[in-house]
Amino acid sequence: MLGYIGRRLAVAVPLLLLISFVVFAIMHQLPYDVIDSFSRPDMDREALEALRESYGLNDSFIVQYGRWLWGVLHGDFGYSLVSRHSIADDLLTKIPNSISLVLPAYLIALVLAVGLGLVAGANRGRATDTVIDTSNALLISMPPFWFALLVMYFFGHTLRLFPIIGMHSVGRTDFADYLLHLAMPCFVLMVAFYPDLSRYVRSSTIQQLSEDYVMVQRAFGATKREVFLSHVSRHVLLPVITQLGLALPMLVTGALITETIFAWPGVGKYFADAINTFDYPVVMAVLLLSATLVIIGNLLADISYRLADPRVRLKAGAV
Amino acid sequence: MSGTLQVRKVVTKEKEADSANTFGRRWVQAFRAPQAIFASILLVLIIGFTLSAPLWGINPDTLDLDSMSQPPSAEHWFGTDGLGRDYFIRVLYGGRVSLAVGLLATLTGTGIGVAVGLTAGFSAPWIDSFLMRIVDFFNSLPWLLMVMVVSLLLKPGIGTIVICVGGFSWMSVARLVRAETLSIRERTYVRYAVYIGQSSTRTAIWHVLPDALPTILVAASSSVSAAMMSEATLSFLGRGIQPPQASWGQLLQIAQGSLQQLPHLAIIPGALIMATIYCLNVLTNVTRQAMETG
Repeated sequence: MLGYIGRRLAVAVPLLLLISFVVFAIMHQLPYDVIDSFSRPDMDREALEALRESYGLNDSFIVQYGRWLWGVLHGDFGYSLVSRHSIADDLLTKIPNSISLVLPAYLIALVLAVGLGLVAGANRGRATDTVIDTSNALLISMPPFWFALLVMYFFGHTLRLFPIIGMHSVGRTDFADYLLHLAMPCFVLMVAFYPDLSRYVRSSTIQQLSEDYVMVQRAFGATKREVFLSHVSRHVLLPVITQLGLALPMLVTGALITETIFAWPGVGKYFADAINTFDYPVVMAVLLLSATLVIIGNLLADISYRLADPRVRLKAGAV
Repeated sequence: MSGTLQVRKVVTKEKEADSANTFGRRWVQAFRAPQAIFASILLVLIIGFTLSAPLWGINPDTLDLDSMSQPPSAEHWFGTDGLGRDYFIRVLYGGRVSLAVGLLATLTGTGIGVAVGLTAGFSAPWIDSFLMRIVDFFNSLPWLLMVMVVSLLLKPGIGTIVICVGGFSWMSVARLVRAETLSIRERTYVRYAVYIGQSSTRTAIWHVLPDALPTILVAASSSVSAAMMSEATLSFLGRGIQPPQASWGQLLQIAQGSLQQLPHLAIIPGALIMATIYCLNVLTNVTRQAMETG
């Protein structure tokens, strides 16, 4: 097992290098740079050129990439070209913000999905199932950002129940204020996460109920309830745990759209702003972080799958 | 208990084979489900209306500063936007772009996926494993972030968004086609084609591809709705279709700015995205079921 994890991580290193190289090359190829994003027509052309020089933007691609890579290898993500803040410091405040939005949303969605998915699967074809399954199909078709706008209009603008943007009101840092700001984006995210999970639970419940062991148990006189509670639900829930690994990258960048709409100061909004201002060190840092999480998440999913079901063989080639 | 069950299964299977052994019958039966009928009608309506856009004789870019930001009325069915443009016609033209991007991105993604999958399944093992590593590479990319970066590089517009969405969604088709190819190429007629000296490109295209076609079609049809959602997301983030051209996602992005005063500008395009994607999903499911039971 340890050897397997080691091999997988060894494959991941060149992959991350490749991703960072490609993204750096793209950012370098752009016809505009960060100076263009904050320069005004009345600014002195020579001063701007000097600024470019001091940011190292005039160096050759390989020199810039090498400098960036050298920094990252020493744990230094550099500075945002727009705000001049340390990116590591920025991330240290923004990652907790993102997690405090995504984690509650994901957990509520997961609990709801497991509950309703099991109920729907157990009552396949009956009215309860039809309602749950149809609502899943509708929710999957719904663009999350549209739902965000509807929620914002209805609960924010019309009913004025919740503050529309941000994480805290100016000058307040208490928990109640945070909860008020959390309500709408968290609800939107929860509705975005829920239908896929619920479908997954429902279909694996249906699949488990058709297995031979259920029929054998029933033939030996076990009630439906007993079989469901002590066997089926366990077999359905174990693979759900493996879904948690796949959700790992979402913790940080899963709320990009929601954060942008509700101006939540998390990593997703940080990235979207950096893209709009060509702030390439920030883009690079968030991408690297996100790609790392995708790879670790896939690995965790495979390992937990193996732990949940010892019959599964792990293949070292995949990333 | 299991004995009777199995007998019953066999009997119904035979009955089905008797009554519906033709290809067409099965499809007619599948599409007779109320959900399928509803989805078909709604989808035909939506597509019909968007195609009819030029017939209405209204220019979607005409500004009318006397009637800005109006709610829906008899004259302007969906009202007007902040610049006085008729919103109904803008929604129709936007729908054309959204649907076109969905189709073109699917064609692009499926095209790449089929080419990669066919090559991987029909070539030497080292090419196969090389191509599969590329699939792994693309699968481990955080796609929304990557697409936003790539969209910076290219000029915004339909072409760019088709490339961005198609170029990052071909991996599952490639895997499917590769798996199909691996099994099809062991069939007698394929081995015979190779034996009589047909080139492997010819064999792959003329003998393997047709057999993999049903799988490819189902995979492609399910990716149309995903592609439409991706287009809407990108346009909403300002990285897709640019004004004055409209798409449903782009209309939503504009509507975000005047949400408090003009909520209908946001409600209408979003509801249309949702309806279209719902219909496409229902029809894909029906198609898949019809093919699996057959």
